[in-house]
Amino acid sequence: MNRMEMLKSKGKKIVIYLMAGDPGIKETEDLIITLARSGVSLVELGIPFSDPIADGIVIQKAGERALNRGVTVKDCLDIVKRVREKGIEIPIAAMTYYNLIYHFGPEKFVDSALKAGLDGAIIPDLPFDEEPKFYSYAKKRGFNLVYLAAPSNTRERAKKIVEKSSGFVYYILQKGVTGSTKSSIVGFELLKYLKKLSKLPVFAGFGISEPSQAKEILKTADGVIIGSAFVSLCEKYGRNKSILLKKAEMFVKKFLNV
Amino acid sequence: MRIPDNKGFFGDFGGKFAPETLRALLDDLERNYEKAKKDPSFKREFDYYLKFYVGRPSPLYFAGKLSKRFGAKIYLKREDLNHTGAHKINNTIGQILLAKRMGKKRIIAETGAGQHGVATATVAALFNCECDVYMGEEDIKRQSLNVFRMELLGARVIPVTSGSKTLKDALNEATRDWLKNVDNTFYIIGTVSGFHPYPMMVRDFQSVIGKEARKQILEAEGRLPDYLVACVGGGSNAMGLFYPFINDKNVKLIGVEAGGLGLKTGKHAASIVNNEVGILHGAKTYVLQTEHGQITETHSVSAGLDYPGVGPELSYLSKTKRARFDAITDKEALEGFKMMCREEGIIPALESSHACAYLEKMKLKKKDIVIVNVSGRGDKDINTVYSLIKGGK
Repeated sequence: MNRMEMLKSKGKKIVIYLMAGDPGIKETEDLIITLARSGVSLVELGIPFSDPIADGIVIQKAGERALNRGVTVKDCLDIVKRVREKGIEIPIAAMTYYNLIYHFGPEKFVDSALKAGLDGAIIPDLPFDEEPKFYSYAKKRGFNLVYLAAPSNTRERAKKIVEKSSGFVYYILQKGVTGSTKSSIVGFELLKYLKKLSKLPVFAGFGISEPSQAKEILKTADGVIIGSAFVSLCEKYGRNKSILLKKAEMFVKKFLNV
Repeated sequence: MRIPDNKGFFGDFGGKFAPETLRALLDDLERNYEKAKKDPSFKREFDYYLKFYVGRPSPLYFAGKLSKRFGAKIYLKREDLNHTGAHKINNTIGQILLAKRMGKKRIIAETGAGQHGVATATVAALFNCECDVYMGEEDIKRQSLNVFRMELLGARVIPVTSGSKTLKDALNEATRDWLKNVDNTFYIIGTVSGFHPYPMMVRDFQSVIGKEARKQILEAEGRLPDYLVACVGGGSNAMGLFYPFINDKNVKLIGVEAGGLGLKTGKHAASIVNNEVGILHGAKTYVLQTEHGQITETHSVSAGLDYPGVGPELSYLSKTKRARFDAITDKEALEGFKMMCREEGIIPALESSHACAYLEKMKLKKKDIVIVNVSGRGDKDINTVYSLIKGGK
């Protein structure tokens, strides 16, 4: 079954990004379970990469912490496998950079990911028109590749992104990297255009840290993606798992209640 | 076959593995570059600055003592005599002229050894642009003289503290800056790496080296050389020298990578010799990485070669066997450095010393003609060399 289909149901969606292995593998598993039970619609599981060019400092540092603990692609797939074994059914998509997938073996990655229970991947440095073989293989196997659209995209390119994307469309709300502090969210016009074009849900991310921002964006988008703000929480409370899980639950609640 | 193809691929290598935010900008850059290339006034302006500001053509010097030592005819392409002391200025002139045409007033760059940073700061000063240069903290320490030069030229040097604190991390930070300031900022990439069209564009700007060398050797010897030798970090001086000779199949192209402490130690920067494909900084190319696909921290005595990737066109030349690649260790490079000082009275950059040192490894015949690219001068490396020689490190 394609769990990503669940995203098409009515209602505003909250998506949370967390870095696999930060603060630890076991904590990541428990966090995913907590997030799923708290009402999150999709979990984006960051696979740490040494050179994350599209990420801001908060996620970069989380990646460094995870890499210092030796977290690998296989570890991340194992996390997914274990949470599936525990009955978690919300969609989970990996977010990582293409070198890791290429190195793992693109087809092997798709097969192993599906076997583990991962539903798709978001790869910021892999536009839909690079690596057509990988694209075809993922499509054939029903592995969702979620493409990102940016405010700077032309309408023509945005249209292609929507056509090629599966699961959902990821709209980047601002110029810059994840968690940018600039307060101005840009490109509502293109977001509206994507909404009009897309049969898939359109989720917006990059720079959302407050429920008030989410409320505003949810007037247009089908869902919001929160990354750095949640990763900061993991950094702050990572030493004490029970507090971290409690804080994670409260964090999600704040966003769900907007 | 057009190289690169319209997607920026040199055979299996290259591409535009770029975040979507950059896409429009890269497409725009590509269009503007194609337009500029066809515009005679762009070429005229580029040639003007190369001649009267950079001081081109750089001499092709017959190195008599080296020739005697190695029993062949050795010529040195003297890029070290360019304004700012390295080949880097050729490319920055080209890119700043393009930035000017595109109406961009803010320039960013990344630098390892500082030569590209100095060249960028120079052209930014010349054309009244604001300039921020990203440089790894580790490189700032070993290239303090170049940091000071950039500051004198009015650039801001931004230390990069992430990762290995060297060139690759400076590239990451510059890319992040670009993502944020995509509207007003032109990113002058210093080598033949990165997203398409950079590898092609930098190659074209640097190919002035090979064009001149070709003409000069024909004048001097009446025939083409047997060998071209150049060091390879990202590979811009090598591509610049090689490119105009690509179709001359009898001219052997040799790229010399940084062997660091030795290939077996894992502490090196020889990505082509290591022969593993990956995706780094927007291009598919040979990349040094761990068994899990994480980009490796590299080592080289020369900050300019200390980079885990290489330009995609060089990967292509290696795979198609048009060029041959080998590695020279830190120790051998230092010997090359000393040899150049004593034999020819030239203090070469540690990068260039790798190419010079390779002469020792070549089995040359008397009739052989070799051109070695002296890509830059060694003033910036004096502190490093001092501590290696005097400190006995």
